[in-house]
Amino acid sequence: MLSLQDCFRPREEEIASKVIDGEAILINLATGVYYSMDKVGALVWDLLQPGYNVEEVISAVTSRYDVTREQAEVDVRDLVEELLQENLVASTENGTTHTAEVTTEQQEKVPYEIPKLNIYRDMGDLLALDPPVPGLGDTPWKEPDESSK
Amino acid sequence: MANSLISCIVPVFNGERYLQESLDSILAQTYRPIEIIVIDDGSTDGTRAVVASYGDAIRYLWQPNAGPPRARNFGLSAAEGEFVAFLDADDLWLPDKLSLQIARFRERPDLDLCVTYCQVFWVPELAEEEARFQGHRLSRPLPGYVTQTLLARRALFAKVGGFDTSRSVGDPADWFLRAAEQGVVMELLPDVLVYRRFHKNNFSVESGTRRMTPHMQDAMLHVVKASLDRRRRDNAVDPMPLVFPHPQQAKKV
Repeated sequence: MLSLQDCFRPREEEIASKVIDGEAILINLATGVYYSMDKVGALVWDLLQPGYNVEEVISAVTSRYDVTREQAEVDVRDLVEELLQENLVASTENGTTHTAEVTTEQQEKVPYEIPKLNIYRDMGDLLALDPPVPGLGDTPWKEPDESSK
Repeated sequence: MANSLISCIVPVFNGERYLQESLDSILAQTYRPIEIIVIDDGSTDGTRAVVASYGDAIRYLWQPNAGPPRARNFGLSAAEGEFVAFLDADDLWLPDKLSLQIARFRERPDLDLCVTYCQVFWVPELAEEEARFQGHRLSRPLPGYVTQTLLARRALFAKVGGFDTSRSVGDPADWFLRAAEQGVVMELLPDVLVYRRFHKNNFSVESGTRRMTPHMQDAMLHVVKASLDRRRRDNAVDPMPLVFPHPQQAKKV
């Protein structure tokens, strides 16, 4: 079970992502599988990226959307679990780079929808090839099973 | 029945180093008739002289530097063939590339476009990099949804449109997605018929690591977002799924 103090950052060596017009678009550049999340999901992604922890993400969701703390916690946890399962994020050191507090003060709260990670597997060959797959990092590349030989 | 003319369009920007090899690989095609159109995208090197050395065998058109999509579209506007194909100035076709593809169109009158597998190769100066990639996915034959593998009916571009000139990179992916969204009939030949050259100056990848540049990643994210938006028109919640040919076992020719 993940802790509220945990941070989950995008696995940038394989995952390209950006929030465009309020929708988070994610591409796994090794497999060509791509993902989308709008509204609450896009907000969650926007906050995980710079290193906000789960607690801070939940606070941001409840201050922007018309939702109870309990509901938001369940949904954010579920979403983060799914992001982990799809290998889109990895757990990182707590309290990393961000300095500013999450500021989402606003007068009227927006109607809430349960965040959803949409998964698309219909253009794998295309997105994994043009351009070539990354994933090598800056260190010399090794066979995945080299150490087990 | 007479063979159909294939227009072979080569966009090039400062490509003097490898251009001759690319053009030779087109001239070595076992298929005829072909016309070769080089679009010089405002090169400042010896590109023009390389093309001129072929005399009348190659048409040379020049445009002020405007990027690959505009160069490809310029080539399309000048093309006279029933079919069109593209080759980048640093890549190579195998001699049977056009023959094998055109045979598929004869077999399947409903076919709109045909792509093939492709294989990368490293220039000798990058032998060390090549060695590092031994066994990596990138060093194996891959399905090529890139312009270099494409053979399409020229009329298809009237339906799908040309390459998006607002995109400095990622325009081929955008074009293939728009084609798929329109239900275009595609075939992926398992034969490896295109060789893509990895050198120090490949556009849009960091040399050495072959990772996409942030600029390229950003471009691809926008291409995907635009496709999702188009497929969700009419307030559909789920985007219309795309259908691409099922990949097969690649065949080295």
